[in-house]
Amino acid sequence: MAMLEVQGLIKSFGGLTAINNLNLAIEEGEIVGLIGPNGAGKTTFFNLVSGFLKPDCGKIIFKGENITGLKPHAICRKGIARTFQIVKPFPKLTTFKNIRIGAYHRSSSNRKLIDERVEEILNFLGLEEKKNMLGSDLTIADRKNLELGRSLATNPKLLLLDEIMGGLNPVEQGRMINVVKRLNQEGITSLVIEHNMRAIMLCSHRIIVLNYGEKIADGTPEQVAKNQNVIKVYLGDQENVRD
Amino acid sequence: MRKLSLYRYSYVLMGVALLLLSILPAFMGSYYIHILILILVYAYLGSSWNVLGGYCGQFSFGHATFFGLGAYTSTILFMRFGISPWIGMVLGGILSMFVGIFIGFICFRYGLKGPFFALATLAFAEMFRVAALNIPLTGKAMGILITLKGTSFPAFQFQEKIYYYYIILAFNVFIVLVTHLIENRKLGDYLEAIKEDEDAAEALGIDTLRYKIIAISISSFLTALGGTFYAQYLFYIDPDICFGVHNSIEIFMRPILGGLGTVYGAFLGSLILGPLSELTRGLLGGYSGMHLMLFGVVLVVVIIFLPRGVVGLLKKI
Amino acid sequence: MFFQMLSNALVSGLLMGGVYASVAIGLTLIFGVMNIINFAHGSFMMLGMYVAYWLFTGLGLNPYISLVPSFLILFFLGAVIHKFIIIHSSDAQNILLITLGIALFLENFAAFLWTPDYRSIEIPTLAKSLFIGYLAISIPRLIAFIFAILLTIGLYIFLKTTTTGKSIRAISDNIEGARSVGINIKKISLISFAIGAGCVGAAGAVITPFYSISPSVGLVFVIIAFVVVVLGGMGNFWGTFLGGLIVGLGESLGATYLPGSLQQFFIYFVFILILLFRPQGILGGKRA
Repeated sequence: MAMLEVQGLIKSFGGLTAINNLNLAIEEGEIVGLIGPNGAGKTTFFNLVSGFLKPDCGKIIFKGENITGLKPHAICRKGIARTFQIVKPFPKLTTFKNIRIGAYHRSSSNRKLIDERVEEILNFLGLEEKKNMLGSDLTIADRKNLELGRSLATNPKLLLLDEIMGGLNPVEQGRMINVVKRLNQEGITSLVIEHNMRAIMLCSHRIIVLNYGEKIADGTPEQVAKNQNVIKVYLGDQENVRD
Repeated sequence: MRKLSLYRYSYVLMGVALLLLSILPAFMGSYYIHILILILVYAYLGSSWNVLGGYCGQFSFGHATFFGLGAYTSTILFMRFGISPWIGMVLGGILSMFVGIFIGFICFRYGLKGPFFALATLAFAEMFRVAALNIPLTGKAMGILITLKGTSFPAFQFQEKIYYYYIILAFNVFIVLVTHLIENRKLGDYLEAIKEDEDAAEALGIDTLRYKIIAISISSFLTALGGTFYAQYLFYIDPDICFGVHNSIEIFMRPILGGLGTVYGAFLGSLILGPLSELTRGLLGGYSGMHLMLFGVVLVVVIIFLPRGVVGLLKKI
Repeated sequence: MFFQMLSNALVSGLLMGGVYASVAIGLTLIFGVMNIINFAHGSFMMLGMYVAYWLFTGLGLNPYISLVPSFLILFFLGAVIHKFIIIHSSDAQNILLITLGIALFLENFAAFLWTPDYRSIEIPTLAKSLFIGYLAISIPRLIAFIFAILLTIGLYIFLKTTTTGKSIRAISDNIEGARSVGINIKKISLISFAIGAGCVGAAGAVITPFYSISPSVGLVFVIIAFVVVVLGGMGNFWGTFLGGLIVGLGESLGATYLPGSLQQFFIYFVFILILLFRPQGILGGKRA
């Protein structure tokens, strides 16, 4: 049984079909890269899985349970956490508080345990020194880490990372890739939207390519890199050159 | 990051303030005690509003609804059925809480936020005001005059102001404790998360609808208690005093000036606005709304220059 | 007898509805362009009424002529307020509070200057009614209604044909698009705000022959204006006009057939219903 299964997913906005009969599966323990040109529907897909949007048709099944149409907070509690493409730190709260808010819903309401867990995450992501800084005062790299840290605090089984490396310099990106890999070693499955091809090819077990809301490729990084459809989509079709 | 040492010792400061406030009336004449009582009433009401508005970030322009429900419930129960206003106060609080849950559910379920939520709450308050103006139960426009029973604890009436003073002081201590409890626990963090970024909060497992409703139910219950106190202190209520928009404005002005989402914000705000109102009334005389002119200016100035209120200012020093 | 009462209620409702529409149209303009809710809108109208009153009392100027100075003075005041105050914040909630503060100040400043007493303008030659069958049509209200129509049409033409008007519509539609074609957002916002203020000031002048003047009038009208705007669709012109008529009719019928002042209750009730279930208003506008 796949960890996440999407069947016949359709979502339209007005006349525009953003997700067009999408079928895919994510196995437990994978790191799956989700790529595709701008407007391919990647973030829309995340919004659908995480409950921020309701699909017009189709099913989303997580660990055998139908989670289609559930509200975001319910989906989070089932074990799916997401980050946002444009980070949303709680600006006037400290880094510590930001992360702690994610940690509350775990079974234990023991304050001490919760705070310990927050410290653990702060250390893991290198935010220990900044724990009393306000969310709005953090650098972009730290905000990305904070976004990730908050999501980790919710104890997810599946992480949806939306361009977690956006705005980071190569060193920071390298670090982030390592973080994702380590999380994977600890048993967290990740679905990663990225524009940075190198990064995604390096750390993903499998890559899914979307274009105009449809899946046009699904395989290992090597397979996808050689896929003619994928190349066409990224480098442009000779016959359809637009200005 | 240096924190104002004043702030760090805030517990001590507040203990001192409480002590001062407890003995102050011994040195004051009746008029000044009256002013202090009003300051404390609106500090209490402002703090009640603060749970929903300051911590949760949902600005209600219609808290007069809950104030009025509290005031009218206890008063009507007393005047018609002889029920002690203390009991009436709790019942009024419960009624108010249910109305708050209803209003909250309707508004939040349908995604009303920010200014639209504010206007909707204003509309609700106005509905209650018009209803109170028209139904015989509430005495219509004439309002209700509470029968004087001399000094009687069960009747929640006292001939000397000093009793009212200590009661409202106790109310304030109570709400400071409640706010403190909320602020340092999961509830407070969750409410603030909702205020800061609702989507992010949802993504972290927070049922924003549920918590907003929790916030409004706490806020509405507490506000109603204040309404009863007010009725018992002034012995007279009418639709305008209770449900009027000016009442709602008086209530939220305190925490906005003093500091939204802080334990002492409403108190500080009231400490400033109370005397200011009295002074303006005295200076410009006549028409009772004069201080509102000042409030208007204060509102504009605070929103633009002092968004974190007086508390925010103190933290920076 | 029944029809007599009903038709008179309908007529006076429509006429007053026109007035409400003319009051609300400035508000919808401001909301459409700047996405802000101007709580001081009613106060602007109140000031327009006082301008007409003082010009009438001091110079014997007919309020229908005073609508011009009312417009100009409020246009200017609106511009000043926008330039020095509104511009400091772009958060819708904060602007609501700021404009509330301005409204509080203006209402009570007016009370301070002119006392809260109600005043009225008496023009004997106008205080008549037109009689058509059993319909009694008050002439000043009829004139106000005609003014409302002219104002709506005038603004409509302004928005459709002038450069400024087109810029306003562009910003209303798509602010980023407007910015990228070089429209000066700040300047146009200022002008829209000022026009909105001016229009409602003029509306104030026009209703003085039949509506009593007092500082508290502002609050009454701003709430009605909100209801009208939400009902008709925020930023939607004709929707606002329609909304005004509906509110006017509802109020008039309510006043005629409901006891006491309960018609107000139903106006608020409708307001809440619309906010909840059809926030884009009857004709559709920006989403609430």
